[in-house]
Amino acid sequence: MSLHQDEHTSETMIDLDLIQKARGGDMGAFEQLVFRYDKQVLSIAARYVQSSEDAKDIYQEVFLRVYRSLPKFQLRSQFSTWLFRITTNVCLTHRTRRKRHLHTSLSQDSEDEHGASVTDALTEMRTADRDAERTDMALHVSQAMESLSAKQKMVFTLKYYEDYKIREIAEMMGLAEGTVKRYLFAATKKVRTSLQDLL
Amino acid sequence: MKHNQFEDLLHLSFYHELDADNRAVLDDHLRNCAECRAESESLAKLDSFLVRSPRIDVSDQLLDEARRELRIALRLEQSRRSFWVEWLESLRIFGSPGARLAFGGIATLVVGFLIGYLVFMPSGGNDLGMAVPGLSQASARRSEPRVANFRLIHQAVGAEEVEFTFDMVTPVLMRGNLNDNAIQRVMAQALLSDQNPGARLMTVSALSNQIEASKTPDKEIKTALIQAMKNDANVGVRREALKAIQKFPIDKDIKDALLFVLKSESNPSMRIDVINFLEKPVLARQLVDSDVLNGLKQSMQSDNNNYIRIRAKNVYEEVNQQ
Repeated sequence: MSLHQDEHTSETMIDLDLIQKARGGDMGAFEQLVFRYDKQVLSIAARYVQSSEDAKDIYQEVFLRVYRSLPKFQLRSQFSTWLFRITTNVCLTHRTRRKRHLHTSLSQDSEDEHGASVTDALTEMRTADRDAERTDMALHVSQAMESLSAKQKMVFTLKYYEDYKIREIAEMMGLAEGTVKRYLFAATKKVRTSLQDLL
Repeated sequence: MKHNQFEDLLHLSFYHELDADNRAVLDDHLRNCAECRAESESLAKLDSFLVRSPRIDVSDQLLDEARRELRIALRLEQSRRSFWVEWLESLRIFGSPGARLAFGGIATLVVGFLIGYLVFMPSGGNDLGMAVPGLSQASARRSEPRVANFRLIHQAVGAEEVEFTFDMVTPVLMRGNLNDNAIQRVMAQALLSDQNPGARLMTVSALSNQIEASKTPDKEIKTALIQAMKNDANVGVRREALKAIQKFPIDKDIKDALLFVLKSESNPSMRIDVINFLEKPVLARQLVDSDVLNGLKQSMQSDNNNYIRIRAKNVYEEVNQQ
């Protein structure tokens, strides 16, 4: 057995062990199981809905579903496959609970706002310009993504932003690889058309 | 190979999904096809734009917040699991189908007798006794059970048989002092589960009036109030919960919850209330840590309400000048 296969098997065994313990009511084991994958879940959600608050809603919904359904999990597939399938389903059916003003975090770029010197003012103007440009880019990308159907958006997010293989995306979404490719190519064309003037 | 197949290969190449053989076929085609070369350049430009565009990253802070909220949700989920769900799941411990069938039959008979007893029991309340754990001076009286949510499933015309479902609801009248922990716990549960916003509002108001500023908060009550402040669908309930939480000493849970409201609450007056509440301990250097300062900084830079940006900036600058 290759090294990769060995690692894969040992990861599966760890998952199985934690699942058995969690089924027995061990919340610590359930938490450990969550922590093994939750950053990926949150990342998929955040990239899909483009909102950290909605991403947290999706994150919570996913793991509550996992918690409720864990006794019924058949162990026929990998836990991660099952988990990410739930994640994509929750993303696809999610409705934004509260309207959020779209904003990117500007705190990394903007520093001290004091200072009366010309240099400071110019730096501030350049920073503000750069931030405005980035906000504008984010807005256009968000609008381009909203022009996609839910499945196209999901496939594009998983491929372009999360770099999953087409085969993996097909497993996660319960689709044939050919269907995933069709969604992906159509999404790419639509996003490119939406952003045509900015490219 | 048809030309549109080369287009598919181009996309697969863009997404690094092309194997070596098809890569060679595509490269060979690109040397001779200007249209596909233009398409390839267009995809490269798209990639360049998307790479430069800001995207939401999963910071440690975001992950921590998500995990905290999940823990609270899981605790509530555990407490909401009904007796019947656990009873049904406990049947799984019987390995053999025969044992499950026998146990299920006996249990169904017992439940049937119980329902019959409750339905046909003579009227008059009686004490619940140990039904509400932890009762000290509070007392609770169970009233006559009532039928609710009656639903007729089937009745054939002219036939004597009928099939229906219904809920057996047992109203409970509970009396006691609002300082009684057991009373507060029941009310804390009601705060999270009652569907009527007016009832939730009355509950949180009653809890709020009774919380003494110096008393160490009951963990369950504090958790329920935090959950209501962050997630209740009704803004009035969220505001009352915030008012109640302000009576507790500020610990990490409360600080994190307040910063959550400052960042995520849609109602501007609540965000202003949080800044006003944090102002005093922050300026008195009783509560100065990087989370609070970052929260204020984020508000002053990106809140969509001008007044809030100004208030946050005032507090932030005053701290920095000290």
